[in-house]
Amino acid sequence: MCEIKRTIKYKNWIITFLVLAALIISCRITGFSMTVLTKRGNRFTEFVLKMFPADLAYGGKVMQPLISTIQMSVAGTLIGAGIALLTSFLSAGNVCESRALRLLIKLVVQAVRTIPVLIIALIATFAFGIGTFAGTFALALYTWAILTRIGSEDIETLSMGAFEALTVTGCGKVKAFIRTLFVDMLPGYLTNALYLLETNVRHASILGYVGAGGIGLLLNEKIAWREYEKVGTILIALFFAVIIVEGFSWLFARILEGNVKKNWLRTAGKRALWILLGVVSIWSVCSIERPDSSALGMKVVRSIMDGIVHPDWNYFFSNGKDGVTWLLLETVCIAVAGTLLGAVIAAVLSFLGSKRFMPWPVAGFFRVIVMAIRTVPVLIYGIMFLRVTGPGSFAGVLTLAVTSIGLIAKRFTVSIDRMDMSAWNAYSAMGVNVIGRIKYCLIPELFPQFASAVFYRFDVNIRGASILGLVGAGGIGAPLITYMNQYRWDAVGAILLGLFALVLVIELVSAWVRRA
Amino acid sequence: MSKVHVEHLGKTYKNGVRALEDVSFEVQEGEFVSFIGMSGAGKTSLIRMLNGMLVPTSGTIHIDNQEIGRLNRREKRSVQKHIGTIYQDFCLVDGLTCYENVLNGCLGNQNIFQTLVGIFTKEQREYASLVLKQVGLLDKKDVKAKELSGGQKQRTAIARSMMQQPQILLADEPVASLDPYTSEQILELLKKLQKQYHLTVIINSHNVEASLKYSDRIIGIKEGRVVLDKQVNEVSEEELKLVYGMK
Repeated sequence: MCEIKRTIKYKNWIITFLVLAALIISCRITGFSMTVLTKRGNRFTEFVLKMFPADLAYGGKVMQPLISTIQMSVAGTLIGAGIALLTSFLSAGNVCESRALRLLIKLVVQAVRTIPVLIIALIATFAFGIGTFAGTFALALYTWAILTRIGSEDIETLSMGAFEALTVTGCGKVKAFIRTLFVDMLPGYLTNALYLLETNVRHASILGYVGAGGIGLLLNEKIAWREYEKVGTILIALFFAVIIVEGFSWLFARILEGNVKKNWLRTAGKRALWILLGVVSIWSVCSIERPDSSALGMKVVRSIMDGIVHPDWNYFFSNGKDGVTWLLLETVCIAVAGTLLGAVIAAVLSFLGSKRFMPWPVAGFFRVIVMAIRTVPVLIYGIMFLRVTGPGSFAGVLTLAVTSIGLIAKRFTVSIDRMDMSAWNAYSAMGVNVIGRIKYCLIPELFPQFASAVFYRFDVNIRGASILGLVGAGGIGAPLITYMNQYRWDAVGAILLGLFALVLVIELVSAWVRRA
Repeated sequence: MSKVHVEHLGKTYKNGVRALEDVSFEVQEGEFVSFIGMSGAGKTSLIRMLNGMLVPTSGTIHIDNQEIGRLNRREKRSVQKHIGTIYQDFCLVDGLTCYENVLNGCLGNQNIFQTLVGIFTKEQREYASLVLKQVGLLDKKDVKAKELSGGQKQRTAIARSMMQQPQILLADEPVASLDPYTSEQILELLKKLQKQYHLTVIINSHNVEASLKYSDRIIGIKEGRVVLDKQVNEVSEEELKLVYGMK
């Protein structure tokens, strides 16, 4: 017993030490500096003040690109989710008996998940020409990869009993499948698809940067022309669009789970929502522009494939500061420092936004703040922080920290609100003061959930860090995009291969940590 | 003419576990037979071979004088359509209502399009209501399966198998996860349906007393072999102890 306790204690120390070491190394490599932050931090607020008060008269011109951004997200989510419905069953071990097919799908999913949406969109613009088709394609591919993975994991946990019971009534596997496993997995699947729709709206708002349609094009233009009050208008419009999409998806998810008390919502409301969803989907899919037939199309896809199969190994193994290895290290460091910094800010904000510990007006205020922080596209933060730090990976760290706040704070707030308060109340009844209650009750209870949220975000940030290069905020993104624009596909192949390996290693480590 | 005729049946799993060895018996039409024996004696494997979920390693199964192993897929399915099975863990779809679960019983007569859209004929729907009434669940028709109690779930599963208009009803430990009072009700229901529709019922059970009360015949299985096969009124206390390995 004592032995076990001691090893657990050692393990905690070792993990703490490793995390601290990683943080310190990351700060060194990315050039993180508190003095710069305090001295030049006001440039960030200056930039914000240039954007607000926003030029509201400009609002009318924002509507059209905003709508096409939402159409792109809806169409992309719909198409991706539709195809993933099939592939998630084909890659689930308990449904598909062909091991080779399962492995093939998993490999493709893993490869797609490695590449950030923005990069997929950039490749798509080479293949299909500039416009919303490229953006929709990128979002659909991304949605497909994520949902295939989550979906097949969910299916593997389903009970096979009902399916087998129906199969032996002589109705055949397909029909038994439709009425059992399919019905079982659908509500959860749709909930995940709705969540991805929210994410996709955020993604879609920056795709215009690479010419893949939507409001990002306008955003890019207004920043380049230094019309910051118009940038402010675009951000406000995005904020409301995100709120509307989130509200809609929240309502829909509740109805799917059957969590609605009012009877009319269950029946009539359900039908109305399905019809609305159908109409919006058709409208969105129909609005996609035809791909540009003069674009290079399959030729580009073939040369990319060729580059990935024959990567530039010299570039891959070169160990200078412009080699793949160093760039990957820098990317990881940006992600580590950014995630941890973001987690600290998120922890504070989520306590301030918790209805349990704060009066509701205060909690409500901080929740709106978190939501506003989440709305601003990652590249805008990149541009803003560049004014504080100058070009380089320090700006990347700050950008990732701020963009991490939204998701981490959301998950923190959920776990705080769901926490069982009985132990806390028992401690206060024993006369334990607040510090004691936090140390011996709150932290032990919440830490594991916090840690898992942070880890999840780290995984996302590795990919996120690889697009920061687009605005000059460090990481592997800058050379990636440069080489793409130069059609140096062998170098692109080397970078993508490196990213693939990196993401795979991190996933294996994270699986190991969770098991240990 | 026997309804079910099993000869020299054996089952060895891929991992080398030998579940059944040289099992032979006959069940007449309209008979209620209980299989008893310890956990791991091979009872579940037997039921699963009778409904076609498992393929025997050796021996033959005849149902209505048709040898199951020799049938092609279509013929096998048409035999399976009239064999209802109920399970210890109910095997319902939690997200569907009681009524929808019952309708699943007649999927064998649907085509894929009907299944995808969820179309059932008026007759099928009326018959589903009828069997739900017979198992006493008509008022729970629109309740999701996951919200039903254990006894109600098993009634739903029975209604689903009745939907197949079965000639043979198999039951694998149908009451093992239920409390004694509910168990009694479920067995009563099975007995009632057996009489009403002149069903052939084959049931696995741990509960010797209940088996003696409701069955016509008892077959004891020990370590994969038949060690007892007698009419209920002929079974002695010693023979039962032998099945459970006590001298």
